[in-house]
Formats: sequence, C-alpha cells, structure tokens
Amino acid sequence: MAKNSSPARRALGQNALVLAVSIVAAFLVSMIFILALGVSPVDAFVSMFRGALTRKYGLAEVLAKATPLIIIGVGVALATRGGMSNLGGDGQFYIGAICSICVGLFLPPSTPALVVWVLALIVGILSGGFWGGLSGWLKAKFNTSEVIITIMLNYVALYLMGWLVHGPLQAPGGIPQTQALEKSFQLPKIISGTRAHAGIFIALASALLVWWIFKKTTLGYRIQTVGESPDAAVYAGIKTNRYMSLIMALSGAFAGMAGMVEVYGVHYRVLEGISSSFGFTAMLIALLAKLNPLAVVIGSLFISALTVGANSMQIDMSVPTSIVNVVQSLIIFFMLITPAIKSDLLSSISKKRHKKEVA
Amino acid sequence: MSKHILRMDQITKVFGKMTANDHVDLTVRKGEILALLGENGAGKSTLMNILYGLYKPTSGQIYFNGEPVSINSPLKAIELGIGMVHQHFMLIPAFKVWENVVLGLGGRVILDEAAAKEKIRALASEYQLEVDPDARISNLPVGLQQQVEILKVLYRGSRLLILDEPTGVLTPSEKVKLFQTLRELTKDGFSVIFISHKLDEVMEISDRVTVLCRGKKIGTVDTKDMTKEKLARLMVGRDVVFTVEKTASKGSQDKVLEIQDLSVKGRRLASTIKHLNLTIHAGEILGVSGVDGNGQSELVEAITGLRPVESGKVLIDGKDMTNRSPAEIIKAKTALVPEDRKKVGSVKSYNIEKNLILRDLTNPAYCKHGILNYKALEKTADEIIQEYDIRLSERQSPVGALSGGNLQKVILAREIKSQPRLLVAMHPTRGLDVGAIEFIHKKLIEARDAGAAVLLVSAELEEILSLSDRVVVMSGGRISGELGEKDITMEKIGLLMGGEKLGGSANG
Amino acid sequence: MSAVLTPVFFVTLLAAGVRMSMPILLAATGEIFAERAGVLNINLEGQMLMGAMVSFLVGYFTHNMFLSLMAGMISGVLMALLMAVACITWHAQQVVVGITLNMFALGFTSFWYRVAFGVTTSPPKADLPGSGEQAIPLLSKIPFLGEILFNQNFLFYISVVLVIVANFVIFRTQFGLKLRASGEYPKAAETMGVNVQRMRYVSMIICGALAGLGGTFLSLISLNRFVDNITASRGFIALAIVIFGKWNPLLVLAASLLFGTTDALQLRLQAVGVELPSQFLLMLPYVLTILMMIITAKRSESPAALAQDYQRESI
Repeated sequence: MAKNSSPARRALGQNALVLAVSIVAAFLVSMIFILALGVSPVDAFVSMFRGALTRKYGLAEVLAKATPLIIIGVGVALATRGGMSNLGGDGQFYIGAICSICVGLFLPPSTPALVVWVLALIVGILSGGFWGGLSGWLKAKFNTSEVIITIMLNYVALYLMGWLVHGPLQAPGGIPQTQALEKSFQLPKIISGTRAHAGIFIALASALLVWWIFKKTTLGYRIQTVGESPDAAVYAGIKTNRYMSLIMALSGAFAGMAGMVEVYGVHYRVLEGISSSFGFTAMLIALLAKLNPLAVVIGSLFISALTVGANSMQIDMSVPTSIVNVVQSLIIFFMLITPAIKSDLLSSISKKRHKKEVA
Repeated sequence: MSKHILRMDQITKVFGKMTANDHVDLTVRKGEILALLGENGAGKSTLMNILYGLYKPTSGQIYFNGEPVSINSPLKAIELGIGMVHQHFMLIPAFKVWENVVLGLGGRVILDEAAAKEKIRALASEYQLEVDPDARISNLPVGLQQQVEILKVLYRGSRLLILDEPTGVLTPSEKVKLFQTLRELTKDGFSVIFISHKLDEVMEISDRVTVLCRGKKIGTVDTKDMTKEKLARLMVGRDVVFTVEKTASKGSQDKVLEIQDLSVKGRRLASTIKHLNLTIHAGEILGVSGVDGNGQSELVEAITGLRPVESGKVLIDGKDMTNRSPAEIIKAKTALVPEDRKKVGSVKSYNIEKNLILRDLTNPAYCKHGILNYKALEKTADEIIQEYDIRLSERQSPVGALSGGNLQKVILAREIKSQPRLLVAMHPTRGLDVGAIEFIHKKLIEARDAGAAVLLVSAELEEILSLSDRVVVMSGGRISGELGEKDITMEKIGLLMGGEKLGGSANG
Repeated sequence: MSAVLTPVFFVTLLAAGVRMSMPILLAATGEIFAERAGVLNINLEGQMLMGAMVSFLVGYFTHNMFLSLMAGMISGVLMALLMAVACITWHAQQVVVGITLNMFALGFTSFWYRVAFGVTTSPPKADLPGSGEQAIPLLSKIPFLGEILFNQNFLFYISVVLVIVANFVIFRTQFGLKLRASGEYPKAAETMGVNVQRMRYVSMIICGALAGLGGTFLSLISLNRFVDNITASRGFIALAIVIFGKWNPLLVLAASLLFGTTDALQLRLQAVGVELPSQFLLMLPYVLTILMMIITAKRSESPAALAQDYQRESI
C-alpha cells in the first residue's frame, strides 16, 4: 500500500475492488441462468450492451430511466445513513406524482411554465415528504418498524392513486388515467425524439445537494450521527425521535420530487403502473453506491443501462428482463458478504504471519 | 494428586498485543474456597473464562481430577462438573427461574416442568435458598438472581463452582447470605473459586488465596497466615501507586452544581437514587466512590439530562436544569466524559475532527448557518493531537482504530476544550494503561485549576484518593458518607462502600 | 345491504377468511421460529415467493401434490439458507440482506416462470388433484362451523396441526428453550452450552420451509396459478402479524384469521357491490396492518437480541 494514501482513498480502492468482484460474480451466476435457456451468454451480453449503449435511443432511454432512480436513490441513501430503512419510495413517488400533477391540471394554461414547475416541484416535495415523514413519526411515537410501515403505505398510496385515476381525476374516455398536461407545462426534452428530459438535471442537482448536506452541513452531521450511533447522538444533544421523522420526511421528499419529475418529464399524466418498483430498485442502488449520493448517480445509470439492455436482450434472445433483478440483487449480495469473507481470510493470514514472527 | 480437583498449569492468553495471562498456575483442593485476588484488569476473569471454555488459552494445560482435559466450550466445562457464576449474570430476563435452570440440559426432548421445579425446590431447601421456580428473572432482585445462578450450577451436579466478583452487586445482608451458602457447599465437598478484589471478603471467606497482578501469578498463600495489609501488598505489587502532583484546592465558595433532594428511578432497586443532596464548588474535584451499580450512573445521567428526574432539583450555576434536554445542559457548560467511551462518547466511524464537534455543533468557531468549517476544525484537531499527545497511525483514521487511551484523550480533549463550568467524568481511566491514566489525571487537575467543578465517578480507590478534594461514597442510591480532604483514607471509604456509617462525620 | 347481513354471507365470508389466512399463517409461524432465535427474517416475502413459483412449476409438470409441496418447502429452505449464510456465518446485516434477497426472489421467480411459460395473457393453471376442499365426514355437517372449519383444503388441517405443534415445540421442549434463549441473550445461552449459531440456522430452515409452504398454498390452492409478485407483500404482513401475535403461534393463528377475514370481507363487499370505491376495499388489509402495528408496537416485547448479530469469542 502506498505510504501517502489516505484512509479514505484506500477505502475507495477497496470498495471498488469489492464492487468489481461482486459484479463479475453476479454476471457469472446469471450466465448460468442464460445458459440454461440454451442462449449463448456472450450473444446475450452483446445484445444487452448494444441495446443500451450503442444507439441514441438506448442512451436516451438510460438517462430517462435513471432520472427517477437517482432522485429516489439519494433520498433512500440519506435515510439509510440516518439509520432508517425507507422501502416506501414507491408510495412517496405516487403521492408526489398525483399531488404535483394537480398543479399542472388546475392552473390556467397561460401560467408561465417555470411557475408551474416550481410549484409542482414544491407540492411533490411536500406531499412525498409528508408520506415519508408519517412512517418516521409513527416509529418515533409508537415504535413501529419503518420497514413494514413504509411497505404498507406503498399499497395505501397505490390504491389512493388508483381511486383517483378511476374516479375524481379520470380523464374522459374510460381509460384509468388523468388528463394530460398542457404541452407548455411538459419538461423539455434534452434529446429530441426520445424520452430523455430535463429532469435529469434535477436528479443531478439532488445528488449534489445530498452530497453537500453530508459533506458540509450540521444537518448532515446530525443525521449521520443518529444513524451511526443513536446513543452517541443522544449524548450529543440530538433529539433522535424528532430526527426519525425528519429523516424519513426528507427521504420521502426526494421520492415525491421524483414523482413530479416523472410525470412532467415522461408520462405527462398519472396512470396506473407509473412506477415499476422504483422504490426497491432505488434501495438496492443506494446500497450498491455504499450510500454515497454521487455514486448513486453512477449506480442508477448502470442499473438503467442493464434494464434497457435487458429489454433488447428479451427481444433479440427471449431472455426475460427479470434477469436484471437477479443481477442487481446478486451484485449487492456479493458486496455484502465479501468484506466478511475477506476479513476472515485476512485474519487467518495475519495469524499465520504473527506466528511466524513469534517463532 | 486426588486432593486437587483442579490444576491449571502455565496458562497464557494473549489478546492482540496484550498478554492477559502470563504463565499462570492455579490449583484448587476439594472442599476448599480458593480466592483469586487481583485488581481490575489483573487477568482474573480471563483465566476463569478459559477454565469455563469461553476463551481458548494461547498455551498451557488444565487438569481436572488429575486428568488432562481440553475445555473448548462451556458445554465441556459443564460436563466435567465446572459451573460458573459470571460477574454479569448469564440469566435470561424473560425466562422463568426453572427455564433458566434447565436451559441447555441434554437428555430430555420435552421439558418436564414439574420434575424440574421439584428438583429446584429440593436443592433450594437443602441450601436454604429462597428461590421460587415460577418467578420471572426480570422481577427478581439481584441477590435472588445470584441464587438462581448458583442453583443452575448445583442442578447440573457440578463439583467446582466459580464465582466472578459475586459481591459487587450485593447488599450487605445478601452478602452474608451468600457466604453462608458457600460454607454449606464446601461442607458437602464442593470446591469454590472466589474471584474478588476486595480484601475483607477474601479474608473472611477463603481458605487459600492466589494473587494475580498484571496477568502474572504473584503467589498462593493460606489465608490464615495473612493479614489484609499483607494481601494488599501482594495484590498491588511494588511498581505502582502513581502519585499525582496536586496543589490544594483554592476552596472557592462558588457553587457550580447543586443537587437537592434528588430521586431518580434506577436500572434496578439498588441503583435507584433516593433523596440525594450534593454540592460541588468551582475549582474542586469531588470524588464519587462506591461499588458499581449503587446509583453512580443514574446520578450522572440525571445531571446531564440523559435520565428523567422523578423529584428534586439539579441546579447548574444556580439555574434550575432539572429534566432539561441534554442539549440545554451542554449549553449550560456541562461537559461529560461518559462511562462507555466507544458507544456513547464517540462515533467510531468518524475521524478525530468529526468527533471533536460531537457536542459542540453550535459553536460559531466551527459552524455558521448550519455549515461546518472543517478547516478550522482541522486546526483545532492538530493542536489537540499535539497537546494531548494522541498517537494515531494515520491522521484521518476513524477513531474506532485508536487505542482506549488515545480515544479517551480525544473525548477528554473535546470536553475540556468546551471550557466547562462543570466537568463530569465517569470512570475516566477504566481499562487504560498507566501512561494514559497519569495524563488524564493531570488534565483533570488542570481543568480544576482552571476553575471547573469536577465530578469524578470512579470505582478505583487509588484514583479517588489521589485526585479528590472531597469524597462522597454512594451505596444503595444514597450517599453513605462524605469525607473532607484530610479524612480521605482507604479504610474509611471501604467502610462507607458497605453502607456503614462512620461515627459522627456521616451525613445523609 | 340486505345481501350482506345474511347467515349465508357470514358463513361464506368466514370460510373464505380461513382460507385466505393460510399463506400468512404459515409464513408467520415460520417467522416466529426465526425471530425467537434472533433472526429478523425480512426475506420472508422472498421465501414465500420461491415456494409459490417452484411448487407451481413442479405441480404443473408432475401433477403430483406431494412432490409440489416438498418442492415448495425445499425452495423456501434454500432461499432461507442463503440469508442464513450471509447473516449468521458472514455476519452481514439482516435487514439489508433480507431486502436484497427479496429482489433476488422476485427476479428469479419471474425469470423462470417466463422461461417455462413464455409471455401469456391467460396464465396456465395447475389444477392439482387435492387442491379443492376436502370435507371432514360428520364434522363438516355441523351447522355454520362445519362449513367454516371442516370443509377446507387438507393443507388447512395440516397447518392448524403445525401451529399447535409449533406452539408446543417453542414453549415446552428443550429445543424451544434453546431457541428462545438464542434470541433473548445469546451469550447467556452460549454459557449454558447452547450453540447459538446452529440454533439460528435450524430456525431459519424451519422458517424457510413454512414460508415456502405458505407460498405453495397461495399459488397451488388459493389462486391455482402463479403471477409475478404473487405474494404482494404478504410476507411483510406476516412480519407485522408476528409482532401483533406477540411471537406466540396461537395468537398468531388468531391474528391471521382476523386478517384473512378482513381480506375476504373486502373481496365479498366488492362482489356484492358496496357503494365504496373498490380501491378503498383493496387498501383495507394494508391499513389494518398499519393499525395493528400502531396498537401493539409500543408494548410489544420482541426477543431482546432480535436482529443482532452474534459472534462467539474467537480470539
């Protein structure tokens, strides 16, 4: 090990190594899956790579898919750093989507787009924050597990949205969806003819914001302290109960914001099936990124590329897209266990070395 | 050979760089009580954990009933007939007595509750134990819990009973009861290893004494040939008794902490604080001595806002701070060096800088408008590393990588840097090496001389003796006595620890 | 509303409620073992999902109920073992591993189901012999109760027996005592000669088998088909029910029945056509779970060492 390398840099190097090993291991396992189908894994991966990264459409689709994942992911990372597991990304996303579209639907078409976007964003943030904060508050007040509550609230939000698009907010025509947003209210495309939209900048800004919060602010410091050591947090004078609500509210706010961005950037309306378990995927991405907000961006792009690639792999080779879930969960699974395996190996090596030195 | 039930031969145990046991020999005869005497950290518990199969010795051999044995698990120890009553009871609070007793017994798949209870009752009446097999452990007082532990051992037909610091948590009358039981047991041929650092008890109960000091065996002697003084000399060895340079306190009348008629619900009955009064002045160190678990933790937690006060008042600098939040109490310039330096006093994944602001997040020198100034912090950290001689392999390492002494220096530095009016230090040198202890003592006196009122809680008599300007002794959640600077002696403190009153000078 | 308040409505409601409670009951009973030993098995959902998919495949292709049940249980066990290795042997965080493996199970089941059947608009049915109701002679003729309790699938009868056995094992056997000790105070258990890690492994195997069986009930008996994410967070509801039922199989049985009946009620009410948007009825089970948690969580006394890693002194 180089003498002048700081612990932080070394940790980064080790993480990268663990990540690389995990990715390779996960792909090896999924190769077995693909082989079992009678498909050549090489062909499959080539099709995957080509589908995601060699065409304008594919690249744009990667950006579009990554946008909500980044936003929800940095929120999940924030919560996890604060010691809370937010599995309610989907619910918070739905609530944010449904509340924010109302801004666009009910403001007169002549309203300047910027005003609509800012208002919708604020509404998305507040409503998602409320939905997320609820589970934090319940935990502080009643000691309920936020894991279970956030998942239950996902369903409540899902059906709430379902009711709204089947009923009060349903557009004429019988399809369960709301009316479309005015053209002028839609977020601009960054690559014309594709689904990649300006929401990606909001996503990047979110990641930078969360990174900055943890890097520079006392808020981030407090959140992190609550997560690292609740006892030390109490000793430090932090009101941990209040922070539980706050952390979940902040985390939910990002998911709510993602709901706004997805509606104004991709669908222009709210409809059932608007999120394909973004919340869980974002959770995995946050873990993949070791809770580093900037790494969440890379992780989201990576997972989106896998997803887009898997789509073309399904078309070309009839390999089901659900292979993506297998791959990403295996990567994280291997990431979780390699440090333990490695430290076991290291300690047995160092013991041997110690014995030699003694002898 | 057969008169020895146990022989431990040249036992060595190395933890990392520390040698906890260094070629220790120990023998126990049938039907005797052998005391294993030594200060905190002398290696007594390690040796016994090896005997009970919880630790693997680095080298050495154990003979049981003359046979060489290898004890690689508690199960093996139990099978051989060795039973242990740990210092922290190994009882499951949610279980009933009988469930705790039969836990882990082989043979029966289905529990025979009636038979188990029957046998427990029989054993209990044989040794005059007052254990109800149906009681839940969490509802039992400590003394009875200990009886359950002894029952567990008897139930398994063990012949050798290890008791690790059994009296530390007992009231005087519970202690009398325990000693009675132990004498009964030896009459029936049981052997007992009695681990203690208390001379009186060792003199009272044991037949022979083996003395350990810093992991080494000093010797084994017959108790009847010994006096307390002789034992003390053996136990302490010769190369200790650190003296601290200390001038007399200036004797200010400025009351920094005033506790009036304080009552606090404790973790257990003995540590529940009942109507306690206490005053500390600026520029003095008040030592709080006593057996662990007599309300010291609760007192500190009540002062610093970590535990609710039931009644009474806590005044800091004349202001009523009763039941205020920890944050408000920090603002009132109260510093705390907590008991648990790893879990409470620091965040192990943070580097030194980040640990330095743990309780100082509102300090404008380091943060403005919620934004942290790590540059300024880094400078302070550099200074502190210099001043406190904190040894670290890498500047940015998380403090989890620091040794106990260095970590404690970081914590102490943080608390002293905040220029406290009141500095509460709880077992500040527990488990540290001599160099760190000396340094921390020096810093505590410096803080006093800078005008802080220091509340020092310690179970180490030496520490209390060498640092305190005044001493109070806690017992059963009360102050059993107070000693002025000229009255502080080991004997007096020892008496007060047992809850006894000194003629005349006691107050309540 | 007149169609609602008839005896027939109640009998069919309760009979359906009993049926619907089964998958959750089985999974929750398994979870009691895991949690009592100190493992917070968030992967319950994944274990159910595996059981549901694998048993369906085996059932569809072999038409053998026994083989399908075994396959469902074994796949649940394998999933549980993956979690056990990661958390018990490699000391990874239980919650994080559980979440990750849930995603794995979702992908795995969906993948192989698609491989087996392709993309279909009408999911194939297994139609296994024995997947219907088996009335118990005489008992099923008891008015009301007979229809509700003694005209059910055979797996229901087995499940009830399993719950009673579980209760006995946990509270009246040495094994149960060791199991509970491992989840309350592992170090104390170790000093009494209990191999805590082994107890935790065994508890995870039991849990995986029961969760797999719960999933099997869902796919082969309740729905007679498999769809992606067929469990729809029933594994998490089972987690809540374990808390609500205070880690006690009999109370968990009662809680599952309450829950199943609520689920059946919302379906009945939809069928009858109540003047309430169906979404609010669909929401009911999840809202009920939240309420259950609010009522019980504060006073609940979970195993003291739940979700805590245990490492034996190794130096």
